[in-house]
Amino acid sequence: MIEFKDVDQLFQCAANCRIIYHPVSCQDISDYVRCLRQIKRLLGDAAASPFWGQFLARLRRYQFDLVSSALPFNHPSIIQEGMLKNCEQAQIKARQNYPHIRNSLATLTSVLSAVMESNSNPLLACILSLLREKPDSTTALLLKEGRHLCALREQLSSQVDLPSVLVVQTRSLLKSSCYSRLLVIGSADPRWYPDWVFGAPRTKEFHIVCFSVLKSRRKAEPYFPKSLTKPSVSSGSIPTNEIPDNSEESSEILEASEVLPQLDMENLASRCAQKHTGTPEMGAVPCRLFILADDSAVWLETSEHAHVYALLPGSETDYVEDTSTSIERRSVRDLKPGFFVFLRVGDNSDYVAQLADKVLGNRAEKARLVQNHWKLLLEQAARTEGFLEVSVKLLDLGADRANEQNVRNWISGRSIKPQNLVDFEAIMRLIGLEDSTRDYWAIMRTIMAAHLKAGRLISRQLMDLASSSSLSILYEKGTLDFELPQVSGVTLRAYRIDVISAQTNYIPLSNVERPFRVEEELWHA
Amino acid sequence: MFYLREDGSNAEFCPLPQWAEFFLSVGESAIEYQSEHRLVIAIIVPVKMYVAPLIASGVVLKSIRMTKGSVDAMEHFQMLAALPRGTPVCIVRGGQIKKGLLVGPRIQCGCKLIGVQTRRESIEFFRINDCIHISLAASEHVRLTKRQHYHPLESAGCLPTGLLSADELKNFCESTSFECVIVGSRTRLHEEICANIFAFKDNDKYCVGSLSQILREKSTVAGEQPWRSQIIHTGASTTLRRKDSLHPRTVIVETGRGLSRWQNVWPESKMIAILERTDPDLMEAVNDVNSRYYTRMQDSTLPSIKPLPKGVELICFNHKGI
Repeated sequence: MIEFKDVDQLFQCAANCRIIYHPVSCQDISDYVRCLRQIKRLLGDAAASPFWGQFLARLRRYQFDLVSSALPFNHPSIIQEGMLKNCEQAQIKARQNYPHIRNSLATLTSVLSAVMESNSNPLLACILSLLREKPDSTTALLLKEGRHLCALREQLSSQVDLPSVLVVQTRSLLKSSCYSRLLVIGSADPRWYPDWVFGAPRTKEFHIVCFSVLKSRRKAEPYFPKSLTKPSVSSGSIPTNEIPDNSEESSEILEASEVLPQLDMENLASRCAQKHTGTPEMGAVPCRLFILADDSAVWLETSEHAHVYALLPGSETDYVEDTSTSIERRSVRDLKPGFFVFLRVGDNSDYVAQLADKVLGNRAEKARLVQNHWKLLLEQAARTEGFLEVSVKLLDLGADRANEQNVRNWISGRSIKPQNLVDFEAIMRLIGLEDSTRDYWAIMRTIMAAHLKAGRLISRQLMDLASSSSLSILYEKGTLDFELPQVSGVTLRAYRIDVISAQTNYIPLSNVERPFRVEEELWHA
Repeated sequence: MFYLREDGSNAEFCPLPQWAEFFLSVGESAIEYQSEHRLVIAIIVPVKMYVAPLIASGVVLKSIRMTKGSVDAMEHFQMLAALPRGTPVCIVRGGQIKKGLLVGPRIQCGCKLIGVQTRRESIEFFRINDCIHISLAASEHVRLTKRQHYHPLESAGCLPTGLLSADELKNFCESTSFECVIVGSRTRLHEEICANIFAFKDNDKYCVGSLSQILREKSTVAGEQPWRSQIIHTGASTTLRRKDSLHPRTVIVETGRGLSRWQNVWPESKMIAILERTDPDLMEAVNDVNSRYYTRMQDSTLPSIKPLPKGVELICFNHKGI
């Protein structure tokens, strides 16, 4: 339980917090940023073409890692393989078709090569000097990207003269702990870190450590019109890194939108859908694209019956820590960014059905035959007559909820049966099995019961596996594998959901619940 | 007021911080304010812990002080008459209490009465002026036996004794009044109101207690005792509450989700929304509040609100309701 004095401390932080900016100059970074920007400008619309888009995406990603990780510029965790080769290929392409960018490309290549050889990072030097200035164990370092955490921790632990420093992500700041200082790598711009990081501060002193080419200031806007507000964070005691009035100089400042991954979800979903749709097939289901924590994405079915295992970490905002974290089978429609979704590693076959068959024992084979039988006949009817015609016929035969989408759902192997008996009776009439309706319905209910039991078993197993230590790894890394002991060969990977597309696309079942990489798509200019 | 601050082996009473005093005053201002329209107060806070219990404490304390120990008998009669048959109640006389089940209103010889079953085969009838002895019981289920006698009323506890006058205290202990409902995380809210020690200083002596003594939350008081507030989980069913004829005077919700689920359940009640900056539903809730603000009743005065603590935002307006 959080005590009153701890809450008092949090309110004191909010009342007395100040932001101190530490702009760090670095010629290499300024040159790199300038070259990248120039090439993008010279390319114009061509920057969005597949070749140049991919080329720039890699360079933008490296730019982001340089300014957000505080790792040495040549650190293996931020260097991408073949970056210089990539530049050489671009130079060849430019010689043929884009002569006007040849010189700029040559400059970029030499700047990139110089940056990649550097074994230092001025941000790290600034952080180390701040840590040495006031060595205490309650200073924390806030990083934007989880994938940089381990590498930075290693870097800091190699400094023998420093006390151990906490390197955290924004999620850790939801807890009630207060830090004496919070060193923020990157920018105070709300596009870098959520507004609450500064609005509900867990420290009385923010130190924003960022390259001077980066726009780093935060402008606190009230949420309510005419609200009786006092700003939650006072201005810094060393108001450096002011953006100069000189327009030429100010154009050198990098906006957050130029540094951070740009996500045009609708565009990305359409592009991914084109890749995954292929030839129209019967089993296409309505899906939304989910961007996951490790720069991958997945299509998840959004039909009413579509459920996945999800970990709901919402309890942390209630300060009950991880004890009340729940893992449950949730409707895909109810998933939100920040939740974790469990997906099967390797293939996307139904592991719940696999365990349900175990629950059914020797009844499983017959039950599945019956299930497949009526679904197959319904599918044949839909193939011959079309979904619309079949749904109209079902309505004429007494169905309550027959429509094109529901007919697709009923045919799908991922649903067991219609919810209502009247719909099932109509189907059985349509496919000529009216006399067997009661028997088939009873078998479908048995399968349903077995699925529910299997679902509960899996939830329990996952909860057992999700100990507090494994959860902290999951929260930090964004993904973690869980091997289900009772279902052989099934490993589930929990992924943090970062973004969900608003549009629905029809995707073949074979591509649903199958994560794929979108790393480069995220960094397209 | 004071709170007990424990640091390792040291413990001392410290004055309530400014932010806590502010939230107490918000509850007081809200309940004091009279308007024919619905008062809406939305507050953005850096952390929501203890905010709802403090506001609710302000509501309960101010409400008791405003009634000055007196209850309008006719109003009370009408409230009881509107309740469904079988509602658990208690009868309080002379510091003693017994339980009963509401039978409902009757007219006998032209006189309006309220019946309460106090034993398996016995119904007691109360005139309008006497019905002030009937209060709603905290327990949802009351089992009547063949015999029942009055037994002593639970004491108010030290904290209200220090904060209320004798008349106010008598009314506080002997009658139920649905002053406020807090919608949020039940477990955490119960911990906040029960586990922390607060105090009132009377000369050199501290009157010590928890916020639960002020709030007299329905589930924390014993069976048939009168109560003043209720904590409801955000995810609880709203359908049953809509049908309930008993309405709280103030609704305090402490999440964005709580606001969207519960704001229209008791449209006549004053609404106080506490929105934490870390709440994932913050923007949705803010947009909701702002859209209501733009359709507010423009011609009304508003309650006076003390200067805000830093890091807190507040908006206050009258709304015509649903």
